[in-house]
Amino acid sequence: MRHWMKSGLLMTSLATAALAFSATSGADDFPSEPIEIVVHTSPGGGTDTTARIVALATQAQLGTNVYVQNKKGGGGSVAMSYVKSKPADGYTVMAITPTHLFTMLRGNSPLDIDDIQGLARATDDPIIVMVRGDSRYKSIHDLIEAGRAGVIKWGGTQIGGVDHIAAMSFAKAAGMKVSFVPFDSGAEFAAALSRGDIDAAGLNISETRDQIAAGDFRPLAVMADDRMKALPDVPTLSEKGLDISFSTVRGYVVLKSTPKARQEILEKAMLKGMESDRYQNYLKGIGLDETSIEGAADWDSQIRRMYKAGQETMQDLGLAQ
Amino acid sequence: MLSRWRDLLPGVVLLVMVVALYWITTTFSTVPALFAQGMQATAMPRLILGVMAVLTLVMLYQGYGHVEEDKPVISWRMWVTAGLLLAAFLLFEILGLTLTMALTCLLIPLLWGERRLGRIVIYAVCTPVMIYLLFTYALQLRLPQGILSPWLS
Amino acid sequence: MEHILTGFSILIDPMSLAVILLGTIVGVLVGALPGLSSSMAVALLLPFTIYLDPVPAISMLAALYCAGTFGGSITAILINAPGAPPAAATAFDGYPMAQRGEAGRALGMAAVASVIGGMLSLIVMVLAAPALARISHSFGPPEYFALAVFGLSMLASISGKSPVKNLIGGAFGLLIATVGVDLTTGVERFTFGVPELYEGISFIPILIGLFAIAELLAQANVRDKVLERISLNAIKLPSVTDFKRVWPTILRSSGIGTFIGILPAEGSTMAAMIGYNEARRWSKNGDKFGTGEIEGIAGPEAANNAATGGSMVPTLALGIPGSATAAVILGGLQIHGIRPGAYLFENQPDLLYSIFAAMFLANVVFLGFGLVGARLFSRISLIPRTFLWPTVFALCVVGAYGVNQSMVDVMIMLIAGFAGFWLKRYGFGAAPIIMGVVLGSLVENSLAQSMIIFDHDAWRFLDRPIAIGFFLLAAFSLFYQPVFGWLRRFRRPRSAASKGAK
Repeated sequence: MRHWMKSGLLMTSLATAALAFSATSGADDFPSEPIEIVVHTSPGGGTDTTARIVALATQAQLGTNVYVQNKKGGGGSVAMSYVKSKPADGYTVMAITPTHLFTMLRGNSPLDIDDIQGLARATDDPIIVMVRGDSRYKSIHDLIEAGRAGVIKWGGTQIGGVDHIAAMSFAKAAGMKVSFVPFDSGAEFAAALSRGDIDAAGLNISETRDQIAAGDFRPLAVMADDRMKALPDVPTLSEKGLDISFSTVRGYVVLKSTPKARQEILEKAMLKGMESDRYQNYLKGIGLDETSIEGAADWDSQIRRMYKAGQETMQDLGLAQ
Repeated sequence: MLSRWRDLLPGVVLLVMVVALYWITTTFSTVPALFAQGMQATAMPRLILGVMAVLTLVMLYQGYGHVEEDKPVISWRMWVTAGLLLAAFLLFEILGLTLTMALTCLLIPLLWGERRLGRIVIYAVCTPVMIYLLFTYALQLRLPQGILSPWLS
Repeated sequence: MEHILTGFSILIDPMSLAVILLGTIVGVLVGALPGLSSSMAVALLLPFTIYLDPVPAISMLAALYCAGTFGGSITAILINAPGAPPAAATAFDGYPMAQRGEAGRALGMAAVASVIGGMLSLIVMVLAAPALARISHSFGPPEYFALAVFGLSMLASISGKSPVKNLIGGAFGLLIATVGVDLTTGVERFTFGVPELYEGISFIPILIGLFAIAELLAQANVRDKVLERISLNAIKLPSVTDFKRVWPTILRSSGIGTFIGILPAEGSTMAAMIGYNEARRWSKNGDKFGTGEIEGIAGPEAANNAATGGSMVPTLALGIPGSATAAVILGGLQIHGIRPGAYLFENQPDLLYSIFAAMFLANVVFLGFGLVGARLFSRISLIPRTFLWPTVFALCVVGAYGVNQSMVDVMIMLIAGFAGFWLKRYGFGAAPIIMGVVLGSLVENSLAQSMIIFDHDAWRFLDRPIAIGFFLLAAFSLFYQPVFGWLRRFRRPRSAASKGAK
């Protein structure tokens, strides 16, 4: 039995080595094989759907099959181990979200921030501090005052996720007390906010564009460096002297040791693919616009900045290793 | 004496499991004080385990003094089949899904007393091939092929 | 009204018609394969709908969704391997019927009950979608907790075996649901360092294991018994007397399904379990459920298909998917640049009615498909078991592996299979375990959320009328038997006395 397993493993590794060799020897004609995009969730849901659309759009540019591989588990750590086990030849691309960064920070990941290199960003959805349209909190100051005097019930997704880290960073910087109510999805706590079950929430524009337009929700401040194009009148937290910037981003990375030329081919194909009407239409469907798309340089530095910001907060919260 | 105690075996197994799982709940990491808001992570599992323990004791009490119901005899075939399924699981990583399926489709009919050899062989070849074609081409799902992966996608 | 007509006008567009038909047939087939549920099929097809116009694209997915829910019942009945979670309850009585040689009767009933349930719920949707959207909007954590308590109140009576064992099984299911990271504290529970367990144990491998693998092991035990297969009986469809008997069950389950369906995040699995339990509760043959009662098929099948239509309401009106498949359809809307939410009904009512029209057509198609197919598929039950079960095993492995591409899920399926075999041997049924798993995270999360919202004051549940309603239903569900028994005892002497007077 043991012997069988060993020889089997040997054969498999020989086979992969042969594949890897044939791939590297023909660097000119990259890509000559199917490219996989590794997603950390089951089929369905935002990250998976985005990746599937991006895969289709990129496929049209590259002329080779691009498919989505679902590797669910461990807050992205299963996907990251899988990517790590693959050769750095550009045929394995990983979809990445803030969750992956926080998993790295918690020390639960086989990959480190220095092992990955950003290719392109697909969606950027800053977190907006939001209250009900008829709330007595007219400005972010009202909310902060109320939070200093009492407790604000704040809705978000799971503990340790980007919503939670963002809310806790904000509360800490502003000296507020926040009671965090975790929900399964953004739409769920948006509904809870409109019912009045919670006082405030960190929501994305993608979930609330119509409600803001109708006056059901009132955006108080954006957790970003610059004001959003869609909400030109809403101040950012940094304008208010709070250096807090969190966003629900989804983008793509490869292992850092992937040849530069291949990275560029992939980046160009993804960016070109995302310019297509189909992808733009999808962005519209999730309430975003073309500012979401970003190339390797800016996307990579954004990943690193978010990692650092997350690191500080998580150490303060006692979550990071 | 023990033969006149219905459900003794499952009761004991359940109680042991409850105790073991309760011990595991004591190893859960604690929450930073900042987010401890009411319910602790251990609260629900412990409540469920407690309820299970009580219910198991009730079951044992109800079964005391009753004769165990007649159960179908477990034949050796069941054990070998169970072993086969486990072996198949261990072989997936190496042989891949298609090859392992071919083996199980060959061995299980033999084990279960099928004697028409020709039929078995045809069956053991066709079933995995059909499944492979169905999933890989029609449904676009990639299955691990182990040592066959250089030839099957 | 004109919106309804505009919406239903897609039924005369040949392109739409073709993709809806295609979606229905793919849905039935994929739904029937264990492990491959309609949510996966929809997710896999999603990117290809880009090439279609929005209305036919969404209609196709909706049709696939409807048909997939029905398809699950086929394998549930024939081989005790529910093709999809909502069909789990159908296996309880469907498989015993197939074993008795009445596969055709069971399949035919499943098709008819599904269609009636689906159609009734669609009629309700067309007439009252905006009003139903308001109901689903008013469901917050406290209401969910109350609903979950109502669900738990059914555990003791959900199958005919000993109530204590049912409760132990239910507790076991609840315990399975605690595996993974706790939503409200972020603490890992029972993960044993396996990262695949971090997001919790997937439901599908548990389901396949408990039903199909456990049955495979039981089949290994059958000692060369020559099973007499009377093929003429096996393909016989249900009779008119059957339908006369089950129509109250179908109506009741359609109502239950529609209601559970419109609740955000509560899918057809729960509807089917409640539909089954209520069918059992009100049936004259309640104690025979689990041995092949035809009402035990009509109950869950009408409910799960009614819930399928219902779940589109919160998906479209709130952007909160009413089920896993609806979540993927939500992605489908977004691909086409359609933003679901409170304003979709006002801005694009035609789209809504087109979706309903597509689901309506899907129901008609799979009624035909189901009745014709029932005669065809029922022959599967005639395949010698030595050839049938290895195939079932192969399909189960692929199904368990396919969802998350994970060997851990295959292991979970095997463990669930071995456990299921022993549990069944000692009189613990699968029904309460499934119910426990379905309710598990709902109970805990909604309670934790409610307590934070209520500032840890449990009395504030009394401020929520819907929650009170469900608590009362739960109390009724628990105590109706003793109370009715008492009433009956109270009445009997009197009727005896009146007889005596005559």
